[in-house]
Amino acid sequence: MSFVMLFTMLLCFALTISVAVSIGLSAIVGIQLANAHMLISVKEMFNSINKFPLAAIPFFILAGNLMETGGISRRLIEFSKSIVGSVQGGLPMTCVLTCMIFAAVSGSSVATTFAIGAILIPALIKHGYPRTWATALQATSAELGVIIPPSIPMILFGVSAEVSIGEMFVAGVGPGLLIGFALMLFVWLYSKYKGWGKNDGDGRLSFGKASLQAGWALLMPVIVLGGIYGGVFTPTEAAAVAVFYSFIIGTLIYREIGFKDLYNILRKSVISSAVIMFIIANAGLFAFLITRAGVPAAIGQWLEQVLQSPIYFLLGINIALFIIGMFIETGAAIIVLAPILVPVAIHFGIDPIHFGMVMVVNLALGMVTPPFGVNLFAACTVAKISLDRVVKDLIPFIGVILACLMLISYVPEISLTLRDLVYNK
Amino acid sequence: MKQLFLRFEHWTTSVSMIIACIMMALASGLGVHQIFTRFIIESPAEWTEVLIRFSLIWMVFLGIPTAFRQGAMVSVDMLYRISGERMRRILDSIVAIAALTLCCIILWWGWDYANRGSVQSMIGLEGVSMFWAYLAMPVGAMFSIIGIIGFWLDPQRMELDTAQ
Repeated sequence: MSFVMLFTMLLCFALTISVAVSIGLSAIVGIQLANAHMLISVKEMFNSINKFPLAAIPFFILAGNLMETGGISRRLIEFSKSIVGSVQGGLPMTCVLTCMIFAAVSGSSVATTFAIGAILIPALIKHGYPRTWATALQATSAELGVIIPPSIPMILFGVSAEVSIGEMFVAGVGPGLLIGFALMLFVWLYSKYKGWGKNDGDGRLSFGKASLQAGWALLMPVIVLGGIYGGVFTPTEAAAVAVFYSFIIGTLIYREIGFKDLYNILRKSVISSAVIMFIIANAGLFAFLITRAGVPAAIGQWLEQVLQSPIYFLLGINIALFIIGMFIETGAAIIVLAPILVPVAIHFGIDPIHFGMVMVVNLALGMVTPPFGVNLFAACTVAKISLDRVVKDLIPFIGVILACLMLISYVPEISLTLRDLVYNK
Repeated sequence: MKQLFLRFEHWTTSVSMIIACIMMALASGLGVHQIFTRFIIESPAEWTEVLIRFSLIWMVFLGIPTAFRQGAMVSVDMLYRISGERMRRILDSIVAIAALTLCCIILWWGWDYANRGSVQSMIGLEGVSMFWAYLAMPVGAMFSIIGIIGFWLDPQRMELDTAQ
């Protein structure tokens, strides 16, 4: 049964049928084969999205869209530029740093690519950086959107592996900083080596002025994350606060959101959320069926036998996830795989939160690896260039992230130190 | 005939979208209300959480018709990128048939499930039947079916505009 389901799903993917429908149809095939009642399909779809923690996803999407329209990206870019913009290669570093800060406001990386890339890719090209390199840089940096909290994949991991979303968010800070700084170091050295960007520092605001302008935006992560860690709100409530805060900032303080924009923002957020939540509904049904058939336990036992130590386990999982991430959408991969893999990780003595970070970082990489990489598509759209031309420039960036991923996999302290500190473990 | 249907489809999809937006705004408002009652009035309401969940479920099912209509559903479109004009038309048809199949199943069994749920009441919001929560599935599926036919008659590809 499971093989037929998997085969149906892959066939549907290949025929360009949307991810949600492919997963849903293969689950329907599974129900037929198992002679189960078809009522299960709608029951499990409903149950998979009828969870309060998941409500954080539409809220964070809406908050991100409000912030974007509210004129935040420009201010954050000025702010980052005032910090790192003065050196040679300062503009690509600004790109990375802005993505890091933007990531702390929004939970999405495609939104980050559009918001930041629309301004910075043309600026990079104007300063003499090759278009392909600028695109690769933007696609890779925006990946930080899902690694630095708040993050939609982390919420999904928390829900499907039954671990605390708050702990996932704290754990994400270390890996996010590591990847951010590694990328900045890389682009700085690379620009020096290539002799690019000697005049990157031109027209930069002073630090004080730029932070004053960006102050309201910079306060948002403090309120949201501080609220969650301080135990004041649940992640879902924090997301609702983020919506309220960004709404007030956009309409009353920056005054860049008018009444007309509001409907467009809502509409855009509804479509994005509906697409993700519909994938979650179908993936939830799929996961329910394979769990019922005992597949996770069987795979788990097999993995325990084949990969005998935690070192091999992490290596094997990383390779598998890297390949899976090339083809499968991040959210769907987490919902189906987390329940299978987390028990095995615990068996090997790996902290589930640490394992969640490995999964999220690895699958985030899947967003920039072709053939299926939403972030790469987004960056190519912004830069108006075809995908195959970017691939060559993308490889070193992927190398940097892979190196960080290995560090995150084998040095659990990167993820767990801060968590232990905050949650007194 | 085709134009007439597309006009009808445009109307139904827009209505479903407007209600979805209202649901999203309602859920956000309730989220803020929940925090307000807990910290300011210090008497947390029990029903906000239930209503947030259900209004978001309605938002999801009324939002997918537009996603189907505009081709905004995420897909692995490698084959589409390398195909010619005729092959693309065939792929569009396959995509539409697959989505129609799934939506018909959701419509049929969702309606059945909603009827069965009419004897249940919402936990945390007693007195309201679960029928109203489950109803989101068949209603959304019906709007989606109209939207998918609209997509097939007049394909659009707006996947990246709203991707996360």
